[in-house]
Amino acid sequence: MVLFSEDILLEQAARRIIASIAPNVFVGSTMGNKGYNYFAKSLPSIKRSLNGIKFVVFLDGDKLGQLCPIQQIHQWFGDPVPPNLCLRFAIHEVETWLICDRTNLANFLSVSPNVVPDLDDSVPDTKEVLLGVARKSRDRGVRDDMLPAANHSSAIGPAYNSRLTEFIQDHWDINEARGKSESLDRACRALEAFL
Amino acid sequence: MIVSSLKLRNWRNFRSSEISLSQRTFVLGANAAGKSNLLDVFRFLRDICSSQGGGLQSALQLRGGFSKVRCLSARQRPYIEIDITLKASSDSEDSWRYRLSITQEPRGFRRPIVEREEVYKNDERILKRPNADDDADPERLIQTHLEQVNDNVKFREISRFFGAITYLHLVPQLLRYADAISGRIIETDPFGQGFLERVAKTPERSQKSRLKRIEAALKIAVPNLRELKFERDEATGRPHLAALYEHWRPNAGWQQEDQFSDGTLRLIGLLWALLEDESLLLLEEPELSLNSGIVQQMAPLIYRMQRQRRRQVILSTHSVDLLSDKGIAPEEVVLLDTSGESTQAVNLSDLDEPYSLVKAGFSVGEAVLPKTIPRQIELFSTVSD
Ligand SMILES: Nc1ncnc2c1ncn2[C@@H]1O[C@H](COP(=O)(O)OP(=O)(O)O)[C@@H](O)[C@H]1O
Ligand SMILES: [Mg+2]
Repeated sequence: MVLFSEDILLEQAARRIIASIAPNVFVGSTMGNKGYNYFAKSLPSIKRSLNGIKFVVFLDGDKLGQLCPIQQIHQWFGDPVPPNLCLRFAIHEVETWLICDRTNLANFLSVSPNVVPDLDDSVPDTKEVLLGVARKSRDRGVRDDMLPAANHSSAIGPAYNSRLTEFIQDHWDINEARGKSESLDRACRALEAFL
Repeated sequence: MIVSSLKLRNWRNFRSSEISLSQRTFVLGANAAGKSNLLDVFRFLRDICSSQGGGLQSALQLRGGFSKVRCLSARQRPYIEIDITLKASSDSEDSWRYRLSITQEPRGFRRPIVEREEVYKNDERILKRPNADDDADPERLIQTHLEQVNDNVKFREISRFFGAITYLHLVPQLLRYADAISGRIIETDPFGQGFLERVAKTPERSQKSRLKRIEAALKIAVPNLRELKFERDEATGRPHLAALYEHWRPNAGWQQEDQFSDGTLRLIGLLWALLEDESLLLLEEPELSLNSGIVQQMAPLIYRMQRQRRRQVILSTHSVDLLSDKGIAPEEVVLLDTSGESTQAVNLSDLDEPYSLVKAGFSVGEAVLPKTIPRQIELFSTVSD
């Protein structure tokens, strides 16, 4: 089985999901992590590989535009969807899945629980939401890691991904989060059936 | 201390450039764009200040002489100028400025001489040459005051800083086969042959704590790696590093450094270097022989190591993967633009389009891809994905 993800955080989330619903499944190789354009470029090779190899693909849903997920998948892979493919979208982006575990995230980022908003898949731009939460952290290390330095104009801080990787690996409660995020719940159920 | 800005005139292929530098600076350019030449400015200052046989004359000789260093397309008067500003830390106002112009004697042996040397402390000039002593004895101009213990008392701090600059271009084979090659290790060990010995000589407490930090960082970057430790071979007493991989791996259990991938070894070597000292660290294309997964993690790994030591890092690269981390700010990137007649070093934050792209959430790698900036078409020609 190949795991193809749009970015590092989606891959980490996917690994945790797979480990929790199918502990005996071995993730053979991982690919991607180079953004959406790289996925688009890899589409032809992925389609060819689907003849013999199972692919689990995780993408952020913020690229969907007007299409609903299944329309988009049909556009890429045809109808019916190849049986070796399981493609899931995090709606609208993976940060939603993390924010939906409010208590653990609040602890991890050293903020009081009510600072983390109670939201679901309907809210866009949850990376901004998460950065807003980090800004309120009592821990200077969290702020330095997650937010761009004062005179720096990157969208995120220098260790945003490493911090959240740590959260996903050691603290994220998937069951809690899937209670609120429908796209996460569906991803879990789809993978259960697929693996 | 950190280098906060650098101005060059006629230094190798940089006829005239001015850049700012931050705690972590990425120098990005195609092959032969001048990445090594730019890092060489700092090595040059180090060579002038080196306590063992340093000095201006020897630093230039090491580089094949004045005419090799001076820009071939230099116009006007043929001088080389380095103008460098240092700050106590990235958010400090205390600053030093060192300015050195070098030219050649107009006749005779045409030896390289100091045309102008100035030091400023918090904008106040504390040295200006040539001075009366130089006028009385022009022979003095073959040396800088930076290299003179008698003359650098008031700015010894910056002389020490330059003297301690480290350059690293780790070659995994040399590190791995250090015993077999038993080659001479160059004083500053740029190629990492003496790495294991240096780990071995480090007092146990700091050795342990550094390896712990490296292990914590590696766990996130290298899936399956669980533990890292230092040990000595019981029979030979030779120092070794060993890593524990997750159990389901073939060859489960502890592996010694000769079984590490070249990449893991290189990575450990440079993470160690980050924790080893406090002066400027120069890294030459650290992406070499690392797989793309690890290269993508390199920028945050460096940042994590810097949290403890605050050691400034300037690294050269032509890897898109290394710049794929969205936490890299345009202010941290220096681009070598080869579209003109001589190379121009510019801060990415001064280029409108890439700046806006990164601000909007693209990575620096995406923002400077050839399709974005046509004139940089060759930038990534050697990188494929
Ligand atoms: N004094 C000089 N004047 C102009 N160009 C020079 C000078 N010295 C070296 N170069 C040029 O610099 C280029 C090499 O730069 P280098 O720093 O090794 O590139 P990179 O490390 O980016 O691959 C070569 O094209 C070489 O001709
Ligand atoms: Mg080079």
